[in-house]
Amino acid sequence: MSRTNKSVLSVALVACFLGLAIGSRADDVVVRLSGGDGYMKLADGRILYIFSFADFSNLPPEEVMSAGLLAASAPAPTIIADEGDRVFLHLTNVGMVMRPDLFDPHSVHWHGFPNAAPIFDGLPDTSISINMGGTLSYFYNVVEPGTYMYHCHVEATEHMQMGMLGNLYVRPAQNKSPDGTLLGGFVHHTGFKYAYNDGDGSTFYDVEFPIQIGSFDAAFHDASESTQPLPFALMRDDYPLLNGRGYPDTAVPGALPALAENGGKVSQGVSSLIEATQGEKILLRISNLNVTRFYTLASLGIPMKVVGQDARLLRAPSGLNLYRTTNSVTLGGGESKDAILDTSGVQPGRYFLYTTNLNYLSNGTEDFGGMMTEIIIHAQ
Amino acid sequence: MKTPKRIAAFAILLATASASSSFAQTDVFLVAKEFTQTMPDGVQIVMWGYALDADGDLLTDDGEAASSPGPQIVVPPGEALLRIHIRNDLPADTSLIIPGQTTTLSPVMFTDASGRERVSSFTTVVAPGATATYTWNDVRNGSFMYQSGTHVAVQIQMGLFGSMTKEFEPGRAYRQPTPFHVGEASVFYSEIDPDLHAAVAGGTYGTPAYPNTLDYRPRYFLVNGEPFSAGVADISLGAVGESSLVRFFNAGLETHVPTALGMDMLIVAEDGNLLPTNRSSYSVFLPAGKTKDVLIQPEMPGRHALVDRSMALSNNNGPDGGMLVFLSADIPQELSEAQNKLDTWSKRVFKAKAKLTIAFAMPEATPAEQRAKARAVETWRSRLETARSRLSRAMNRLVQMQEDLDS
Amino acid sequence: MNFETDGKIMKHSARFVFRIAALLATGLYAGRATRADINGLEGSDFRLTASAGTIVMPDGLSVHVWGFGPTDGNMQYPGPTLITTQGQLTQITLLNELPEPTSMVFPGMVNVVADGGVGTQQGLLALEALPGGTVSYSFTPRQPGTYLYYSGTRPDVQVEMGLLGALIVRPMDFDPLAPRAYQDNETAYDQEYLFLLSEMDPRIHEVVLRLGSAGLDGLDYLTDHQPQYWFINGRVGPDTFLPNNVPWLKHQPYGAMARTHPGERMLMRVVGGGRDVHPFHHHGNHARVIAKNGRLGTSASYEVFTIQTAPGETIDAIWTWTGQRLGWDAYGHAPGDPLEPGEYAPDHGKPIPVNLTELQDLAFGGFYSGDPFLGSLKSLPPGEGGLNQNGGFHFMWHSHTEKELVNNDIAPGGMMTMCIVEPHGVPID
Ligand SMILES: [Cu+2]
Ligand SMILES: [Cu+2]
Repeated sequence: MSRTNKSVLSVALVACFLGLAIGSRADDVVVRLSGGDGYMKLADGRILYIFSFADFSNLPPEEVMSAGLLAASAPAPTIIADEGDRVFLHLTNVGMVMRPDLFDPHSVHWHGFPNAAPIFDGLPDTSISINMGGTLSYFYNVVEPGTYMYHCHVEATEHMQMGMLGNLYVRPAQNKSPDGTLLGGFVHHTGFKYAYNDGDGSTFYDVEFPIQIGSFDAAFHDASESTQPLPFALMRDDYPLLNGRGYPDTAVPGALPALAENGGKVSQGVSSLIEATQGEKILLRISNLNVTRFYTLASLGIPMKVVGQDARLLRAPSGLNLYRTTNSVTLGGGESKDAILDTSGVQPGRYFLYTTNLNYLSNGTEDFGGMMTEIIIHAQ
Repeated sequence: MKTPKRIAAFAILLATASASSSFAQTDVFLVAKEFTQTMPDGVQIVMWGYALDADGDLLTDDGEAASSPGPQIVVPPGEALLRIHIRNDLPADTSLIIPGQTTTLSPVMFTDASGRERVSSFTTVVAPGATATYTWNDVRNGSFMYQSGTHVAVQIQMGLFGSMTKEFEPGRAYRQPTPFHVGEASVFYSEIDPDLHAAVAGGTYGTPAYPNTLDYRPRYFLVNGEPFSAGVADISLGAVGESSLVRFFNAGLETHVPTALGMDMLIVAEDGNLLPTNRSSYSVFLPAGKTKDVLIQPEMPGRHALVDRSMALSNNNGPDGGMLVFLSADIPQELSEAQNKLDTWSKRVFKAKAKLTIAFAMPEATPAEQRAKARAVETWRSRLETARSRLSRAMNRLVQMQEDLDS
Repeated sequence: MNFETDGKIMKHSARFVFRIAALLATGLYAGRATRADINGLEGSDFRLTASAGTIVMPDGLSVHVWGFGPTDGNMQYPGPTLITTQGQLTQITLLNELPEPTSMVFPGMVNVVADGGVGTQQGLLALEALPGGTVSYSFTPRQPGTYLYYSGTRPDVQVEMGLLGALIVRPMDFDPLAPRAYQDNETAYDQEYLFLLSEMDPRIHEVVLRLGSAGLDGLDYLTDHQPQYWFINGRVGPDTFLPNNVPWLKHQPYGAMARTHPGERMLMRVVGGGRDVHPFHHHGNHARVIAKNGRLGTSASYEVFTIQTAPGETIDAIWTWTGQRLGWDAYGHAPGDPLEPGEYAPDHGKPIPVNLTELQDLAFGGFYSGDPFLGSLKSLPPGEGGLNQNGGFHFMWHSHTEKELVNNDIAPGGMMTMCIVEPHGVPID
């Protein structure tokens, strides 16, 4: 089963672009993002104007300005790093093609970065952000694994409602343990992956999927596109999403087709189709970056074991595991949970991950859609 | 009008009847049907719910009353099998799922106008007028909800849900270290958006008048199937000092936070899974579709309010309603006896004192009067002494009992 | 007052800037003591009055509010933070100057005894004081921790109107010189702050002002609740940045700006006062959750970067910032410089490994000191920065339901405040 995902920034792909870095090392990762506007297509066919980032890690810096025009993607490109990486992120503000009247700066907020310094925290009020035409460099010494998220923090209510949101996670150093390492009673082998440095293999998984909860208020986006006053007070999201798509687009493998509205760019690269072979363990890296409400996400037929939250192993300082088995998790904006779905004993077939806030199983006013995706368990 | 329904039901029942030779306790016969419920403000709501089929054959409509939540399904400890036989008297396809219980699901998919496959039902449907059997072969202990798995955004909101519970062993909900409980109760939350119910009943659901559930706005908030109003029965927890298991269910579409005034709850399980640690709390965070189990050991007799702190406390915006119920704790038998004794003896002490006062005031001009007075004083003095010593005994006994309860 | 330019609402409103400037002008920003205490009423015998008043929001709208206040002081939103002690018989006497009955409930307290004579009535949830009446409640807190109190009379209306407050129970062996939240060393702290989160739908306040609670009966405001203001400690941003008791916020005495030094343990007492769940995201670092609803959980503590604050629930968490393992020296030291107290030595003297962009491409925040390093102030282009007096690291602490960062359509505002990590030596009061 091969999975190609255009917007996943694999470390291997980008490691050779060292750009503006000073004192770069072999484990340096360079991420080059544009920040600007663009378009996406909702599951009921409606075209939506968005702001977001796009991935140009494999382009020379001088080409990002032009390549980034109307390139906004929903969600923003997924950023994956390994514990121990030094991540250099270069954000180029390419401006808003459809809103030439707007001169908004942008920023990147690595949400949850431990012991952050304001200069790289992306909060415009307490540090700096980047104006149109400029490029700002962020540096992250990545020392804590887990499921984070990132977003622009400039005019946060507006820029986040408009879509400047993406998955971001860090894989633990335990993955790189030498073959045969004993983790408690668990034997590590090369290629084994874990959600955290658990010391006992209890967060082992075979396949992982970032699932970012979101939702958009189409009227707000339309108002932005047509330069109308923005309805902050009346904001009410009517397009619930997982990774920037409503059902059934969530279950479409790979990227959605390119759009004419943005000049033929693929803007929705992250599928939420969850696939595994019976017996495998699935890690769901669930985060929520909607700006209007809490959502509860349930797994039907396969219980979730929550092993982490907010980029931390769920374990007390005493060593007591606080893992809990549940059918659903409830997240507000800016929260994350790591849930492992053990498919041993699960009949091959089609299962569902969906919101129990059941009125959000809608794409606008279309039924059988919204915040839901499919989990396909293949026979061994 | 009912004839075709019966025939269809009969045909399918023959098939299921051969599979289940006897109607064990683990066979439940439900009818999904429409009914009307009157809200405290007099508004009539068309609901969908479940009724227990009176004769267990699903053949005839015997006028059984449906309810929402539907009948409580209790699987005996040690029993692994649950079969729910259902006849669908609703005007739409429906189905049954129990999130958290394992069974093979056969989702029903359809192809939309853009050629994409979508799920309309999480498992096989039963058509209007037909019957079907849903089987779980490995039922776990805990608190669960059975509910429609079809067009869930509409059917769950219409009322198609109920509780399914199973104890680990009699008197114990989960394995050790979960303590045994004496009392048991359910707090089942649900919501009603009257506009949705009217649209479904009036056939305007899915039309521009009421396109879908996106703009869901519940206006009634129910505990165990009814919104609070004066006269709603309390939930009895049994006696002070005794441990009661309270199972919380939320079939609503929004998060609620049941909050107990004046008592702590020990939260032990979520969605039928024992929690890694038990936490004492005056409130329970209860998102949509969630079940949680708590143990309550009331310290004080009387009524304790359980209010939804997300403030679903009105009936169609009218005052003093919604998700409010009182948990009542009784005084244990021997405690109430001891209290009665205390009352009795304190009354006698009072009486003896009064009589003694009268005796002291008796005339003593003649020897006869002197003798009578001495007799009366002696009598009431001794009675007062007795009453006092019995009162003090009753008090000590009561204090001892309180201390026993506290420890 | 929406400033519309090019069809877009101007976010940094003049009023926002004015309010920040006012903050600096007060000179209350930096004090003398070394520890911040939570502002409130301390003792075990509290006399409160419930009354009505008006608060003026930064967008200019007046909102009619019902609140508790000290009987010898102003009505306030939220009510006074009542600070009592574990095991101490605590009595609250409430005089009702509202036009409707009111009462108080104390979740987490067992055996609350209500007392009252003339002017009271038994309500659904509590003994109520009628208008002009007085009721008293007494209880003995068994366990320390963070709690809240609120009206037990039509709480869906009266809590919305403002009748709520925090209740803090100090442990029996509380030592102000070595404070602990509970009788547990894991709960020791250097700084202590309250973050009471709530929201208001001004439509309800308008109806209650004109018609009383009964006026809500025919409307759907209670079930289709549409808050427009989101508060921390009864203030919306940027008023949250202002010190306690500024004279022009007569009914909103509590600030919400948190200040600490690197390495210090800050106790966050986070309270869900309203009816919605709020994800309280604290920039800067994770926090360790040590208690929930006043029940100690240090043996099962865990870390979060967003505190899920449910209505009526409380969370105690410890937050510490050290800047360790940034991979560069947060103080901007040269390798030969002395270490700051608690500084992470392996990063000492390491430079920032990126070139920071040319000034002309940058937008500067008001709280930016002009320099990336802690304790360092550098000049910025005219009109930029200026709100950072000590070169402290400012972190926004806010609801991550970002919709709640506006005041009735004007951003920024709402449920947000700042946490400042001040350089060592800067006094904190
Ligand atoms: Cu932006
Ligand atoms: Cu964030």
